[in-house]
Formats: sequence, C-alpha cells, structure tokens
Amino acid sequence: MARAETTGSSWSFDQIYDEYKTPIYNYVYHLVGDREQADDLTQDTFLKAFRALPKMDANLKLSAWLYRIATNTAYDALRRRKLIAWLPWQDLDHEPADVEGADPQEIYGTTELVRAALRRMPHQYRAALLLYTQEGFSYSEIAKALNIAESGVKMYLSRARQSFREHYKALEQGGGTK
Amino acid sequence: MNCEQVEELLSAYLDNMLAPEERRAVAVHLQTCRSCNETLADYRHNDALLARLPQVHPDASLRERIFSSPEFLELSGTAQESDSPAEWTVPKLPARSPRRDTPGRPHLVAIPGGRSTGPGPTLKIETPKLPQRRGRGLRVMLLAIAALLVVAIGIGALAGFTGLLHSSPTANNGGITPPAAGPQGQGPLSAGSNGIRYVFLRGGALWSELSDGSATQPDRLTPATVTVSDQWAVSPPLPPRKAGDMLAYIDLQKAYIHIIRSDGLEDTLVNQPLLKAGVLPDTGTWANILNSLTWSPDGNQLAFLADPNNTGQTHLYLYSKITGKVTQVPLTAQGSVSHPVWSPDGARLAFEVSKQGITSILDYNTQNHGALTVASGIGSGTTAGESVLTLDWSPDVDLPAITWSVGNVGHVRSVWVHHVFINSNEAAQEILNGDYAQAIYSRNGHGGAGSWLVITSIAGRAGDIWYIDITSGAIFTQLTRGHQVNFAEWSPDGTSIGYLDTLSEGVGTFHIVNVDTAVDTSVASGVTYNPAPAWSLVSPQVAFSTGTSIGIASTQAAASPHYLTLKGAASALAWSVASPDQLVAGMNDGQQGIFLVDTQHDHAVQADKLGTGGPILWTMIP
Repeated sequence: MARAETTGSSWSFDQIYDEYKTPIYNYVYHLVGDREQADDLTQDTFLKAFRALPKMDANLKLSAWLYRIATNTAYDALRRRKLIAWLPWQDLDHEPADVEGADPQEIYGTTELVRAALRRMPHQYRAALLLYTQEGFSYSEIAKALNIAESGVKMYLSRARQSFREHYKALEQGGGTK
Repeated sequence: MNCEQVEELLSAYLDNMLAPEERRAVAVHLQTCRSCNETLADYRHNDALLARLPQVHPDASLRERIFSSPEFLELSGTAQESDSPAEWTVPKLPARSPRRDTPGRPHLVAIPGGRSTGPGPTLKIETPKLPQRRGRGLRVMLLAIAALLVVAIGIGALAGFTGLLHSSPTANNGGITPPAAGPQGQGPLSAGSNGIRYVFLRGGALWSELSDGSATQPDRLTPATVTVSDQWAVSPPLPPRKAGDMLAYIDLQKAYIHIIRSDGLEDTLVNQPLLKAGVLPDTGTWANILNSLTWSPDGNQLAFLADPNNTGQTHLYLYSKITGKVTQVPLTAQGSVSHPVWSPDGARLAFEVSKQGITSILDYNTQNHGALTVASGIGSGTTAGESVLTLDWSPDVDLPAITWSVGNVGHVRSVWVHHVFINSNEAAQEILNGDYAQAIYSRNGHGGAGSWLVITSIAGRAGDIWYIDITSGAIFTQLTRGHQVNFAEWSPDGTSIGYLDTLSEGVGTFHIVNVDTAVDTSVASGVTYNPAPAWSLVSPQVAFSTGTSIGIASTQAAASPHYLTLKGAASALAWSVASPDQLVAGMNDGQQGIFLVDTQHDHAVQADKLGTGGPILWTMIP
C-alpha cells in the first residue's frame, strides 16, 4: 500500500480513508441526497485528494481541504444534474440511513423532514449549514472548505438558517413547494 | 434596531460571532420582541435537529472500489516511485473536528455520562481531543436515548413553545426541565465533575468546564428551550472554598429565574413569575428585573425583583435555597424597587425605591422585617434630575454603613455614607461634593477600609485618580498626577488601582498605582478596556489584552510584562481562583475559542472552539 510518509507521524492513504470515509460520505450524502451518487462522489473525492496530496504543503489542514474537494465535487454533480435535468429531487429518500439503533419513528419522522428541508435549500447554503451543525466546523474552517471569505460565512449561515426554517416549517405543515 | 435588522444578525448572534456593540443591540431587542425570540428559538431547535441527524455510513465495498480502481493503482505506483515523502507530512493529531459534541453546537440533549473522555497528551496549542470510541452496545443505547429525547423535546418545542407572552412553566418541588445532561439526579454532565469549573454564557446558554484539563469540551448546562439573560450570577464562595457552586439566571423565554449547579445538577425553577403573562414590560422595569439577581453572602438566599401583576413597579422578593420558598418583602414605601445589595453579614438589604423620579434608599432587616429609610428625596431639590449611581455597604459587620453616589453618568455630584447600626441617630454624611467623571466603590478598597476611587473631571475631560475611605475623618487623597484616566478598577484586594491613561480607539497605557504609597507604575501601552485587565486572586499578577496579544504583568514588581504566544483578540480573561498561574482566555479571532493557559510555562490548551463574548466566572463544587 502506498504511504504518504514513511515515518510514524504521517498517514497512509488507507488511514486517511478510514479516518474520513464516514464524515465525508455523510456530508456528501446530505448534499446530494442520493446514496448511489454519494458513493461515486466519495470515490472521486478521495481519488482527487490522493492524487493531489503529494504536491501539498506540509502545513495542510487535511480536514478542511478534504471537505473542500468533497464540496466542489458535489457542486459539480449538482450543476450537471441541473443541466441535464436528470432525476427530480425525491421528496423522501426511501433508502433509510444505515443507523445503528436509532428509533424507527425518528428515522421516518423528523429525520426525513430535516433531510427533505435540506434538499430544498440552495446547495451552497446547505453545505455551510451541514458543515456547521453536522461536522462541527468553525467559521474559519467553513470558509476554507467552501473557499469563501470568513465574513461570507456569516451571511451563508444566516441565509441557510432562514431557508431551512422556511422549508422545514412548510414541510411540517404538510405543504411546501419543491 | 428593528426586527428586519435583527433578523439578519440572529444567526451570528446565536454563534456568538457579532461585535460586542451589535451583540448588545440584538440582546436589547430580544428582551422585548417576541417574533425575533421565536426565530432565534427556531434556529436553535433546527440546529439541534441537524446536529442529531443520523450519520450515514458508506458500504464496506466502497473501500475496495476505491483502492482497486485503475486511478488508484496508477497513483500508488507513481507514489512509490516518487520517493519524496517529506513533501506532505500530515500530522496525526488533531485529525478533524469532533462531530456533534463540539461546544456551541446545538444540543437538544446530552448523553448522560457520555461527554467525558480521558486526558490525552497535550500539545502547545491543542484542538479538542477526539472522543473515545464507545462499544457498539453503548452506542446503540445512547443513540436510542438521544433519538427518543430528540423526539420528545421536538414535540415539546413544536407544541409548547409559546414564548414569553403565553408562558406558564410549571414547577414540581422546585424542579423543572432537567438539565441538558438528562434526567434530574441522574448524574453530573461530566464524570468527576467535582472541582473547579469555569462558566460562561454563549448563544443564550450557560456552559461550564473543569479547569483541570480533564474535559474535552465544555458542558452545556441549560436546556435548548431556555435563553439565558446576560445577567447571571454565581453564588458567593463559602470559606474555605475558593468559589461558589450555584448559578442563578433568568430565562428570557419565560421570564422565570432558575438556579442550577455549575455541573448541570439541581436545575430548579424559582416559582415566581417575574412578569405578568401576556404583558411586555417597559424597558426600565425589565432592565431593573434583569439586573437584580443578588446572592446573600452565605449563598442561601437570592434577592430579585419582579412585577408579576403588571403594576409598572418592581417589587423585592427573596428566594430561600433551603426551603425553596419565595417571599415578597413587604414595604410601606410606594415605588419601584431597584439595585438590592446584601450587607456583609447577610442580615440586611439596601435598595432604592423610586417614584416619579424621586428616589429613597431603604435598609431592610431580614430578621425583624423592619425597614429603615436611609435617604430620601434624591432627584428633587438640589439633586433634581440626578439619581443614585452606586449603592453598597461598608465592609464592617459590627458598625455597618451604607454608602452611595449621586449624579448622572459622567458627572458624579456627591458621595454619601450613613451608619445604620442599632441606636444610630446619625444623619447621612456627604463625604464628597463636586463634579467627578467617575466614582467607583470597593468594600476591599484601600486594604479593606471600604473606599471610593474618584476620577476628577477637568473641562469635561477625565483627569486624575483620587480616593476617599468611608471611615470617619478620612481624607480625600490624590493618587495620580497629570493623567487622563478613562478607565479604572480596584484590584481585588483593594491595595492597588489599575487604570488606562489617555484612552484612544479602545486602548491606552495601563498603569498600576499603589493606594498606600501612591507609587504609579506604567505597565504596558496599547491595552484594551474590553476585556478589562484581569487580576489574579491568588498571585500578584494581572493579565491584559492588547487586541492582538495577551500580556502578563506583576502587580508588585516593575518588571516588563511577558506576552503569551497565544495570539488574537481576547474577549474575556479570568484567572483561576485556585491555581496561581492558570488563566482562562476567551479569544475572538486569531486563535478563536477558549484556552486554558499555564502562564508560567506559556502553554495553552484549547478547551473550546467558539469562545464567548461575555465574562468567564469561576465555581467550585465541593
């Protein structure tokens, strides 16, 4: 197996994959809302990262950098999807998440409403909100991951929360527009 | 600010990412606006829903797909040939932000006993350590508990959130919504929570963390359904303890007081509405109530104000921590009560009563329930248009005296003392008269004499520092010469005064002047007043911020200060009450978060990634 560094202070590709596979997959899945596509995009993300890693600076913030690649990869896919008018967004993704021990009512209730509301948001706001609430990123980490100014994160999160609130409320009341 | 402007800022307010002025403006608006409070509560609730979204795992086959793909095989061959490993060393730790449990993130619930991880190795500057992996069985159980609680709280929030106007929380034996840790009495938030904790407010919630570095992140003490006001109060220390352990706060959503221990236990509702349901108070009344939380010196009683019948006047109440009962202090004087202050022996309360701009000062005896008028007619006659600025007690338990200043902000016109011991027929004594920029009292002032530091006013500009003790025959004494003192504070032991000379754009030259010797030492230039320099209680040191660095100076020697390697704008500084070299620093930018700093070894450990805009206070759980 190829290694990034031969000393104990470095990570091999498979270690990087093992460490980040779930958060990156989870993030990408919530961005695109489709497991099959999340598989493809996660694969693309890691391969792009492995390819670029040997050229990166030693002080690289690996986490933010990986999320940045994942975000760009997912955005590309979302743009392509829009261009070719591929599959419409499904209101409810009937492919329940691989969740250990979660309450079934929770999975098909609140969780699906949350996912549906996320899918109705503009994707750049969706990414900011996911990075903040799901991944625990700070404003500066979000800025790096989304390649925007730190001051822009404030605006993104503000718009994101407004948008999510609107869509979630509409869905809760049994309505909402796609 | 109007609702439209505030709505634009609510998200950053929730994340504690506003400048102090903006934050204050939003907080003021929130105190009276139901609609913006609802939006804020929704944001908080929605964040919590998102944070608890179940994690989706990739199939195991994806690994095989990636590592056996032609792209990877080609790449791995290239990598083996390149033989240039040093080009991209990736440090092993820290790897990534811990998901979900990051402080400042929404937490509808916390998992009992599940937050704490064992201590790990420390780096020079650390990010929080990764949570330990739990066993599958435990994970399953915890996820199930979390999911059920999310559903329960979600339903509660959707069905029950009515905001301030329709609130009527119910109490059961003084206890209400269990703290974020889970069911009441089930155990503290972190394993081994006894000990010294620091507490801070962020995003309408109180957080606390052990100061020994054993916790990986602060614990959220207050539930997501509660919005804590800025004016929360820690109970006083009971010797030999270094700090109190109980916190009193007002829930802005429902206008009730809660008492909670600093590890999240014993969350108790004080069963007294502060306002009449359905009525928004005027700003003055509400500000009076918010600023009223005052613990008795033994920590057994809490004095507070309320206007439960919408009379437009605030009334004085006492809550007993021992009996859980609330009693209203009966007063014959008509008017609105403000600024209650306990006497050092905890037997009496001084406070103001104001009606139509005329203020009296009263002394209420909690043992015989008698009330004595100490001063009256403030705001009329020669004091027309003026009000009481500061009200406090002498430190002397045997010969208690009340002292106060009168005037307007920036123009202190007089300072008074009135001895209130039994059989005292003395009238109030005016110990100072004139026009001063500021007058700041400390019971410990001048080494425990009880003393006012006064900043003179020259042609409307701040001048030098003088002081006067409240003891009989005290002399008004000049301490500094030729300075323009814009900010001053007593050292905690009252032996020195720290001040900023010639404040410009928020910074000035920091001086320390010894009250006994009048020796004035210039400590450092470019020091901010926000946060103010912080004095250690257990060592002769003071910490200050320059906006980009934190300096540590001796309060006794004239040695140059040393500056920490931790860089950025500090938002709060607080010395440990137990350890002579431990400082907690809240950082706004640069290295954002809260840091535990060993000032002797210049070693900082990041305890939190988001920081706080408010003060950091210490508690000690025996």
